Amino acid sequence: MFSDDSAIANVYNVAPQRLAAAIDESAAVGRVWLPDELAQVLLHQLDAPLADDLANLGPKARRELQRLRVRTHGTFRDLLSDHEARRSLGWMIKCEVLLRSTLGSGTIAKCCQVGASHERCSEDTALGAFLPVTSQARSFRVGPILRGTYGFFRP
Amino acid sequence: MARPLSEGSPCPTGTGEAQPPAVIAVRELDGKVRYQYHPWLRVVFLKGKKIVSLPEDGDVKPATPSARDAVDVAWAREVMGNAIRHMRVECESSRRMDVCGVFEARVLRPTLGGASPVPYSALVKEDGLRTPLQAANLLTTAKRKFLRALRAVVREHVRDEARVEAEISELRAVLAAGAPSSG
Repeated sequence: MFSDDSAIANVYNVAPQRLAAAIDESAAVGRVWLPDELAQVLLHQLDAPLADDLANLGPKARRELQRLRVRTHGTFRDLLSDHEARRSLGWMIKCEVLLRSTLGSGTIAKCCQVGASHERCSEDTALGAFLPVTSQARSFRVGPILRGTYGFFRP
Repeated sequence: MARPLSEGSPCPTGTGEAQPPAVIAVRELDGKVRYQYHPWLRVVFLKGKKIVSLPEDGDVKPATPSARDAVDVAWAREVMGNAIRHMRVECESSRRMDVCGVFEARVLRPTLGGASPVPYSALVKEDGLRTPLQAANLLTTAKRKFLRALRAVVREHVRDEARVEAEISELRAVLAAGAPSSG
């Protein structure tokens, strides 16, 4: 379509609604995976070693995981099959997965606070508690994205 | 969205009879001419370029809503075509045809041609991309590039930068509501 002008001529022949759809699809910048592809990514992620992601956690987060006695070996699949861990961390994995799929990066650390007060996740709690870094990360608007888009947080 | 159609200069036919003006529709937005409708030629020009021919039969007048819609859709098509050209030129100049290729495979062909989106696995095999993740990142880049191209083209028709996004929304609405027949 880009390789010759006949492709561009297509713009003048298709139903205008198709052009509107092209605008819509382009505007959905974060929508880059087909459902099958996303499923493959998620399945792959289930078998990813937890340690790889947990290694990025800051000291506060690591302490919090120790306090909760969260098993930090194994995979995300193992974590999901652990009832106690699932209770405390399952929702964070959802955050993680969605952040990865929508923003292209992200770790649990960027997601939100572990522990008793994880009913809400603001930038302050998320970044203050977990991010080992960083000026770049501090501009990362975690709270509004999660609250506004996915509604993970109980009022 | 645009100002009312206004009259232009008369058509010099030499017959001495009262003739319709050569340009009876000058549609403007923010003081800039968006397009002109020439009833004698029954074509619409945008910046001197013919962008649509109106049917010979029937009583098509630019003042009627249907004719205005047809012209609006033609204008929107022209903007979209120019945006794609703009993007292609950018891809060529930066030697990033891979960006355009992914955009074509995942956005243009599916939306304009009704084709199924090409899986990243196929793009990796065919286009020399390293991983599906790389292809996904390219698609993000491509979408942003196209939106920038679209804004650049629309910006040519508006004076106020703040109107660009509104104009794109209007363009999209025109297309979404447009008659399925082509210009």
